[in-house]
Amino acid sequence: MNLLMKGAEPFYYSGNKTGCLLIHGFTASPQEMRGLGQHLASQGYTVLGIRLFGHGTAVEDMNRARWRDWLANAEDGYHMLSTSCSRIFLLGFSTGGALSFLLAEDLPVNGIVSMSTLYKLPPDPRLRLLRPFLRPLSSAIPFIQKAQSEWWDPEAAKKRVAYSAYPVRGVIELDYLLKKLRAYLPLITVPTLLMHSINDGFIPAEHMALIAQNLGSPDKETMLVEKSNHIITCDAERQKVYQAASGFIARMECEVA
Amino acid sequence: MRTILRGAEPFFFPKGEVGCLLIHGYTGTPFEMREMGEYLAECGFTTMGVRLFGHATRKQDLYRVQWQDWVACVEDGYQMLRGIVSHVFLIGFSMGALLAVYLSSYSSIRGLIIISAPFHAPDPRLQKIGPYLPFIRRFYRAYPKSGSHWDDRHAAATHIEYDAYPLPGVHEMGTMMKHAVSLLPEIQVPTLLIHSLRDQSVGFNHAELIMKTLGTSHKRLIILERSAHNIPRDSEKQMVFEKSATFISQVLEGSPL
Repeated sequence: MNLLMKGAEPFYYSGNKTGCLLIHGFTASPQEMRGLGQHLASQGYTVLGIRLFGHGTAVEDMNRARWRDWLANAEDGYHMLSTSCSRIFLLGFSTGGALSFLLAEDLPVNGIVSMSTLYKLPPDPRLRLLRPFLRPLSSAIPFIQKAQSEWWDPEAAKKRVAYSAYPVRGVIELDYLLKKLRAYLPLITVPTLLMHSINDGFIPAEHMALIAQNLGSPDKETMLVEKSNHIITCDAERQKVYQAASGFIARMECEVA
Repeated sequence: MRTILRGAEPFFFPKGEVGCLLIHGYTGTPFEMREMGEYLAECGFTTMGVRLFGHATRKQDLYRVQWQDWVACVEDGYQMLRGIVSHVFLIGFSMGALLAVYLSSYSSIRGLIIISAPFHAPDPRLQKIGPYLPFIRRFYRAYPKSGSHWDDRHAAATHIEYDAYPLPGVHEMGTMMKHAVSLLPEIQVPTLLIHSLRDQSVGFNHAELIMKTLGTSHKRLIILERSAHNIPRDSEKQMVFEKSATFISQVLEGSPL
C-alpha cells in the first residue's frame, strides 16, 4: 500500500543544534544520501534527508514535476530543520547540489557541501542531438532508458533505489533549473566544499571547476575522489566523501565559535 | 530563491517520543495547523506540520496534482517522524483528515483526530457537475471561493490560503475521498472527531456520517457551536487544542475517552 518505493523514504536523525539538510539528485531518492546522513548523525549532528517531488514513487510522476516543486521541497526541509537548529548546512548531490545553491541565495545557511553537481546538462550525445526538440518530443517520447552505469563498488550499485529511465519533460525542467543555477551562482557567498570524482562517467569533473569558478563565495574548497563514478555518496570512496563533509562542517563550526 | 508563501512553511518541533503529524486541508497551508502544532509541542509532544504537494506556492501547481502526491507527502512526514518517536498520532483538517484516515489504514498509528472532514462532496454545485469533472477540469481550471465564513474575524483576515479551488485538484480530492471513506469501517484506532454545527463549507451532518461509519468503538465527537469550517484557527481553537491533548494522553494511558 505504501506509495514510496522501499528504501526511498525520507529520513530524520535528531542530534545537536547543527542541522544538515541532505538533498538527493535527479531521478534518484533519499536512499543515495542515507549513508552520509548516518555518518553525520554519528558525529552528533541533526540530519534531515528529504525526498524531492516525483522521486521515489513512479517515474511517470517526474513528468508532472516542475523545477520549482523541487526547490519548494528543499525549502520545506530547511524550515523543518530550522525550528530546532541554529546552524544549517546544505549537502546536495548532483541536482540536489544545484538546489542547495539556489536555496542559499535567500535563506541563511552556514555552509554548502556540493557533491557531483552539474553546471549544465550532461554531455550525453543523445541529449545534445535532441535538445532543441525536447519539449515537443516529451509528449511523444516521455522516457529515455538510462544507459548501464559503471560502479567501483558493485555491492553499492545493488542497493540503489532510483528510476531506470529519464523523464524527458523532467529533463527540460532540470535544464531550467540549471539556467537559474548559472545565473545565481555569482550571488552565493556561503562557504562551500565541492567534491567530484575524476572518474565521473556522467558529469565530468570540469563541472566542479566551472561551479567553483563562478561561485561568489570567497571561501571555497574543491576535492577530487578517484575510485567512484557519479554517485560519490555511495560508491567505493564514499567514506572519503563522508569524512570530508563532516570535517568541513566541523571546521565551519570552529570558525563561528 | 524561495517559492513557499511566507508564513505558510511546514514546521517540525522535535520533543518527546509521542509524535503528532498535522495535515492541512485543500488549498490551505501548514499555517492553519501551526498554532495547534505549537500548543501540542508545548505539551511535550513532537509535532510536524507537513506541506501537501501543490499547496502554499501558487494555485496553478494544483492543476497537475494527483491525489497520490498528497498521500506521498503524508508518508514522508510519517517516515521522518518515525525516526524519533515511538507513537504516532495523525491530526487532519478537512481533506487532511481524509489523508490521515487513508494513511492509518496501512501504517502503525495510535490515534486519529479528524477535524471538519467531509464524507462526500460537500458543495452542492460540485455534486451536480461531479460526473463531468474529468472533462471540465481540462479547460475550467479553478473556481473562486465564495466568501468564507469565520467566527473570529481577526483569524479570517490573517489567514493564508489560495483564493480559488483549482478544479483538477477538486476532482483528485473527490477520488481520494471515496478511497478514504471506504476505509472508515476498517479503522480500529481511537478516533476523536471535531466538527462545528455552524460549518457552512462541510455541514455538520458529515461528522454524523463519519461517526456512524467509523469501525472503531473508541470514538468521540466533539461538537462546536461558534466556529465555522476552519476550526484550528477559529474562536474555539483553544478548547480544541486542549481536548486534543487530553485525547492523546487518554489513548496513551489506555483510559476510556
